Amino acid sequence: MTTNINGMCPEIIMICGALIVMLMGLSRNDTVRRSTLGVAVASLILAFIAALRIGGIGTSAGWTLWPLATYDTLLASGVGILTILCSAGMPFGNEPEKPDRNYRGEYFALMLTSLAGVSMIGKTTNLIWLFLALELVSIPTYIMVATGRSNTPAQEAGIKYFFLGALSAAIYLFGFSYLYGFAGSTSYVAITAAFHAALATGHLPYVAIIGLIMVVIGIAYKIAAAPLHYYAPDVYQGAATPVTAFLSFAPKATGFFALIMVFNLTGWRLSGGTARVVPDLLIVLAVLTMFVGNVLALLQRNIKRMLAYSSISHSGYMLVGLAVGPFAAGNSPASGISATLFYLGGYSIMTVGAFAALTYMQGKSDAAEDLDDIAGIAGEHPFMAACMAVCLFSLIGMPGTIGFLGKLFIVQSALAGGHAVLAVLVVINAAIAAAYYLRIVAAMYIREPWSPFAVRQSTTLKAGALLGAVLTVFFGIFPALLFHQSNSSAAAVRSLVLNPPAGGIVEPVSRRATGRLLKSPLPAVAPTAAAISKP
Amino acid sequence: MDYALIIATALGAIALYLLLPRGRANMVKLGGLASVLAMGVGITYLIHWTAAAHAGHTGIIENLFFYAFAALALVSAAGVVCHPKPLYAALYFVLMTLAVSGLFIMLMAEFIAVVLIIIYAGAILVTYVFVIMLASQGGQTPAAQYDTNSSDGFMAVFVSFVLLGTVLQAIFCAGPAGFMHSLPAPHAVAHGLGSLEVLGANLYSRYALPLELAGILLTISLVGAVMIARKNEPVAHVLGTGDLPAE
Repeated sequence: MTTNINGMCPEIIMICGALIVMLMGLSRNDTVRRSTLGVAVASLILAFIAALRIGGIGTSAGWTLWPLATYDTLLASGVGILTILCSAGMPFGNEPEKPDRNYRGEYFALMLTSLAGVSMIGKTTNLIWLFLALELVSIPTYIMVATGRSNTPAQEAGIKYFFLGALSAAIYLFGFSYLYGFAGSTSYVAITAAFHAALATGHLPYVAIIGLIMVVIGIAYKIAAAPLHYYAPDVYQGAATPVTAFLSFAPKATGFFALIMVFNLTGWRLSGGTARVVPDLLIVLAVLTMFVGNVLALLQRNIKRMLAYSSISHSGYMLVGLAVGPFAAGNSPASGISATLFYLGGYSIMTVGAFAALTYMQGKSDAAEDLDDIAGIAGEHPFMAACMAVCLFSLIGMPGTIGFLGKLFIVQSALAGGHAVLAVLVVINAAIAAAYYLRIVAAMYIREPWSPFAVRQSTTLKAGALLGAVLTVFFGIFPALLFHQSNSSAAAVRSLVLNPPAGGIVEPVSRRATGRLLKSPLPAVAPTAAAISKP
Repeated sequence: MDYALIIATALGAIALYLLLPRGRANMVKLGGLASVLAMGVGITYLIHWTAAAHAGHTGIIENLFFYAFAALALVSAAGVVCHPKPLYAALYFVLMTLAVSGLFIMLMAEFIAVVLIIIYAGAILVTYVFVIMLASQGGQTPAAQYDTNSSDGFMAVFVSFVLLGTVLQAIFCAGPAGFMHSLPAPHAVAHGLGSLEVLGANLYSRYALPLELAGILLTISLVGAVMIARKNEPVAHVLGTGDLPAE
């Protein structure tokens, strides 16, 4: 591990926050238990500040891509705050009047640990570390789905998500093991060197190709790319809405950062010979994902299912950026990686904002899910309806919102990379998507209410939805901040790929070195063992 | 393309499909015949391949333990998915673990071999058996259909054997893209990486950070397991603080 421990400061803050929150959740005092939300938000704010401050540390240290890592951490902690604001009053009990708050501390602790995992992906320097970070994101989400609300659909969703998630973990672990077999080491530096050597000869061995395909497929599950999207609608619908918001952000961000890390190993130069199948696979996944997500979303009446399919389709747009790669369009924001990262940030903000507004509208019972349930809600709750509408317009890609710029960059990158067909397909899909988002807006504003609304009155939720909507518009008009981050990350990826770090296989600590290690700090190993065995 | 490998894979797929437990006509004999044929073709291919790679030296005697453990692992793995009684399937799983750890010992990875036995055959299997015993109480009633029949057997067999066939073709394909030409020198054994001493030193020096991460991961999974398993009682009963105001 060459990474400076200082660089891990934000993750350490998040995990300490998780432990504190977990202990506070056990308190007998109700006020202490309620303040867990505040502590969770505070630790994320601290992590955000820490990420901004340590951004430059160790810029030359080996493999780590600091701009990318910083963007990852800022995204995890920033959008993490939004998702926590969304979770006011979680987990939801059976009886709305008598909420059972047993698991409050644990719930936020799970969330913080998962976010620490998301924030860590960009800093990994080793496949083992990458695998553990991916699992650190996933395992808390399985538990959050199953316990987020106490009804049968939530448990069914939890089981489905857990089994399929474990299967996908097995698949990408299989891929990692083949990459290890290919390079003889799990360290990124060594694997990069092995890929360079192999690609220079023009023959990428099958062991590397199989490994890459397995990794892409396993991670495609995390980002809910078709045809591995089957779980998404059921899980998104079964989970409590704040958990759904978290699921639409955390695993996706993880998946895209992990894919970028893995493709960095290959130098993004898989266009020749047998290696061609991998970029082709990305293109096929992108096209399938866009169409499956958008066309199936048209058929839904349940808002959560609709948003689930919408999140699938947004993965498709981001995959287009990945398929284009870092080289097209040079240093402009239209480079594939920069466009994907920008889109990821924008998508996370707008989709979590939409889910925050939806949680508010669904009321205490968390039951209102059909389009009819929110028909005409704008008359009674104009503020939340407006927040929801802004986020939905951004998801459509209306000018003036962040969603528009995201789509613009993706299309530009596809054109610059010579994938004109992909660019046309993105535009067609944006048009299809407008239809179902506008159905939600129309239901809120045009239709008459047919039953009284029971909203979840909570200032925290209102703050979450407002923050989401405001950021959506703010970054839509002043994109420079987000843009600077995504662009410098892409530039770092490019410079790393063009000048890969020198360094052969990192040798594991050998037997001789072990002898030295064991001798100095632990002089009395053998006598102790003898002393134990005597009586 | 190696036709012998394709034949072995296809025969294996047919065998496994026939052996999968089903309510209707039992094809165990036919399946058994197919599996014997598949293993015969596979082993013959391996012996020929070794002979070709080592200038006529078949290496049957040196590799006798490999063939024995590998065959045992295959048969017991098939037993895990094919036996209609869950408890027997679990015991086949123990057998498979033992066979695989035998293979690990032959690769000089003693630590992994022992850990495999301790964790899988010891800890995890005991849990499985407990779950099976607790879940299937009342041995008199015939087991439910979903417990005895395999669902979607065809798709499962098809997908897994297509994957197996692809990987096998890639491993045994000749030329610069094949496995045998691309694998790096096995320096793990040279450094004694399988031994406990080296493993411990690596875990606490080079891999200290992933080790800590694994600790956090296990902690959070434990908390989650308790959360899921615990009965969901209102907080007032658990903590004795009286009724809570709503929000």
